[in-house]
Amino acid sequence: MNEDPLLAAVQRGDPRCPDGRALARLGALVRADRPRSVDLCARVRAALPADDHALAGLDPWGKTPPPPLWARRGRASAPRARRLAAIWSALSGPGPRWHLPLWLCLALLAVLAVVLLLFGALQRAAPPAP
Amino acid sequence: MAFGPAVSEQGAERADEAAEDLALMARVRDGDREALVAIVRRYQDELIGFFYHLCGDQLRSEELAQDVFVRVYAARTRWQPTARLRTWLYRIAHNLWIDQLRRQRPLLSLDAERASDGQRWHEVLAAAPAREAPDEEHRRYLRQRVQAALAALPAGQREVFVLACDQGLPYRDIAEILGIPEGTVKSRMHHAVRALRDRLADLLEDEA
Repeated sequence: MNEDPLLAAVQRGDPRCPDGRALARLGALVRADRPRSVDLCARVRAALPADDHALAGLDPWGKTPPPPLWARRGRASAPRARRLAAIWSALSGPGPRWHLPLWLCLALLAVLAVVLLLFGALQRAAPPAP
Repeated sequence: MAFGPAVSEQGAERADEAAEDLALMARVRDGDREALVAIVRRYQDELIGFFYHLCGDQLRSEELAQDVFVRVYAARTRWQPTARLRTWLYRIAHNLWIDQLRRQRPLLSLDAERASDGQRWHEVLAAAPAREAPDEEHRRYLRQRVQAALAALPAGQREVFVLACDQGLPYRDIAEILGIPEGTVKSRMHHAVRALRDRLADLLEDEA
């Protein structure tokens, strides 16, 4: 049972809300604007390819990542979750999902190369042992 | 106590519906296309209504709803019986809608877009209600006012309002669908209602 009087007023005309009548009218106005009822069964049947493998590349989430867990568990604010989602989206790019692991591997290799270079430079710079 | 039997009946109906959804999705997961068609029949009106209130375009709403069902079939092996089908459908619908918004500019711009009869939206908003007009004309006028008011809301508020008001979902489900905290849903709903009340004040006062 939802206890928010505003929601109850808009959804069911609950009179507990101070402006219940106006809100009920608002809800009724929006719900009165209905699209035409259409049967999509034949169209969905036709849209499914005969071979299920043809659907393998179709991502149910489109280009948008699924709602991040960190936002749902309240470990981060919504703006932070949105920023993280944007980074995920940018890294994923329009191509296939393996772009992200590829970028991570390249970044790791770059870090490793920098560490090796620094280590080599330090070795050369160190005075020779007596 | 007067609500007791009605509430328990409603609860039983929901439980039956959830059990049927589960059985249908189990069949869909095994590749049964007729089970998917049964799901289409069950949820098509809801999803077309959801998209319709977001974009105000009948044909586009039908296409998007159709796309949701195709994606359900494509992702059937990833569906977990712990997820409620309705919530899962709306999450796919939400993500499709976000992709649509990213791909193109917003459908309704008060300056550029025209209402179905060629009037600009701000003319529709400014026009006095056609009190003497026949019913059909008055209904069209109301529809245009409501669509323009919804279109003027920020996308996040519009989606929350449509899910709550038209689809009748509780805040908890909306938060799950949109992947945002319940407090954010509530705040968006309050802002949306305030904005809509301001824009449609004359229509709401008519009946109050």
